[in-house]
Amino acid sequence: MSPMTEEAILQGCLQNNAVAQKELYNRYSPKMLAVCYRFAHNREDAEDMLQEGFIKVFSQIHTFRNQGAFEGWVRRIIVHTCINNLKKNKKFNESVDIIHATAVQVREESVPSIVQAKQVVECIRVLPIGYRTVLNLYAIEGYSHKEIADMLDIEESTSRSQYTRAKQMLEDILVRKKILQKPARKIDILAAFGG
Amino acid sequence: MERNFYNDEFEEFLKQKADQYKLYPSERVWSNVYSSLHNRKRWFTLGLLLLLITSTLIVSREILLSNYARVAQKVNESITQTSNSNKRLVSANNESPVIVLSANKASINTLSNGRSSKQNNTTPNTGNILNAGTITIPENANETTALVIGNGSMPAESEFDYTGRTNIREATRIALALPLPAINSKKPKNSKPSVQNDDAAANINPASKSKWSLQLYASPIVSYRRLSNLNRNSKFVPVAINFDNNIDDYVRHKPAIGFELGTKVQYNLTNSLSLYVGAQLNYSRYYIDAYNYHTEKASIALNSFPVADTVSKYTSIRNFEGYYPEQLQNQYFQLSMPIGAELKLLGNRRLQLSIAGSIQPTYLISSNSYLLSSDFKNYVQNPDLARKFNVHTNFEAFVSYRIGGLKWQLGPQFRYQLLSSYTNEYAIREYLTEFGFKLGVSKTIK
Repeated sequence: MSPMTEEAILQGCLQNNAVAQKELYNRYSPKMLAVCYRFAHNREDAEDMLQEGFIKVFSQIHTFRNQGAFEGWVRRIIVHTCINNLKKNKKFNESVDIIHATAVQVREESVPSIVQAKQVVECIRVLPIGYRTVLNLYAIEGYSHKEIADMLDIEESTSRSQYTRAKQMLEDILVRKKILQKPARKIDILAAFGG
Repeated sequence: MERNFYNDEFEEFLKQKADQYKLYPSERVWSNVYSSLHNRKRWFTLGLLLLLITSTLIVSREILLSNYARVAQKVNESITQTSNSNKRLVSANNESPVIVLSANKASINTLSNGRSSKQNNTTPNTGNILNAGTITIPENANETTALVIGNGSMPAESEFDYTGRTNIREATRIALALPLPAINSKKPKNSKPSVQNDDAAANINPASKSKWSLQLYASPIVSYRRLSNLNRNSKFVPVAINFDNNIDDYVRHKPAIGFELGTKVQYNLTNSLSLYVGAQLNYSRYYIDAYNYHTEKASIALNSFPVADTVSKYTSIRNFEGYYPEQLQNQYFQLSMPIGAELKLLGNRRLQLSIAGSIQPTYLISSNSYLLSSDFKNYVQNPDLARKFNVHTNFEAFVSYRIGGLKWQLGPQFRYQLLSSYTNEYAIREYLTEFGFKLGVSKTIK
């Protein structure tokens, strides 16, 4: 049986077909769990967010209007689920040790770039929850400060200032862990982010 | 400018690395998602079955109660006819009281020379039918005293002195048992009356013993799985199979406890042999020892015609080795219709030893099961390969004890699945065997 096309998966999910649902889940869950992991306090919370997010995806799949990529639509639902979960559980109040990053045993491929990706994500997770959330939403998920302010019930200026501090803190961590070298010149910048 | 460029590059770097990173969720996540999406159908089916069982109980209760009302009506009619009948109820010189007890009132009629007259006024009764007061029977009376009971409830303790009075409670018991014994007025006080059985008693037709009964039963069950080797006669034996031994040698599974609930209607052909048909719910499950691994592709080659087909799935569960152990659970929720026979081996009316067997057409309501891939390396889920209709056989032995109108039974049972849990497309055959200890209670439907 050849892999299902995205259209076939969507049609199957609309009919509540379990095979199609599992196929969709298998395709997007690894990436979406990584999204949740950047927001969550630990892996268990991340999986809870993923579970809740996919239930919403399947429940609301009839609202997908083929405007834009399906993955982007799924991702938006997952991100909103993460934010709602953090707000509901008041995780914004929890502090994170910014000095010692927690070593988390997760499965990974052994390709160097993937290893570096893991390290970067772990450094992001070391940030305080508020900084981390704003940085995830702005720098990685592409939301504007206005949208972030609406989602988190904060001022737009607060979102900007939090992001500035988060980026500075993350840069320091990446440099300290030698994942990044503080560029002195423009040429060094290009070399550092080259891959 | 440099700062902006640096900022954009930094954000691009973060986004690139974040998108490269992937994590593979545990099976728990999908299980919960699946349950959440498909629970409604399961609860609907469960609700329907509960409704069926509840309806059966209510209908049976109504049948029982209406039978009592019918008997009461017949009895009242027969009392009315008694006064006009030629049957000898009294001797020439004596009155014989006819005590009529019904659900609502107690009245005493006496027959004298063929004429009836009420001895006492009717007495409203709150349910305790024995409110007839004292009945005087002449000492030389040797008639049959007809005792007619309108309903089956035993009267409250209201003992009468036999010298001129009778023990209504005892008489009531006798009347219910039928035929009526004769009353001997010379018997000492408090002795049991003996009432001669004559045609007068024919006015009270003894209820014929019903051959129908209804039973409810439940049983915890332990399920074992047996896998059979690949169907080597198939033209489409999956490729890359290098295992020659019994497939059971390559898997590790452990039994788990489920349950069985059911009801059946039984018909007694003879005193020893009866037939039955019913409805039954079974929840069967067992554990599989596996390993968690990162997601990889697994294939199931199907016995399909005319072209061999393959199902490809992504799974994070391995059979032989992985990152850490993980225990899977295969579960089956079934509805069966047992059709069988029961044979009494030995015993008396109260205590019996019996055996029973049945064949059970079965419908799979829902399942959550993991299948082995063709190379035995992985476990995958594919609900489409589960067989919806199956057949089971059942054998049981039990001891039964009858008390208070109910028959209780207890004993072991064995249930075997005749067809594989999966369709013929799947090359591996699975057969479930279940052992249980059944407790049942049955009541005659009159």
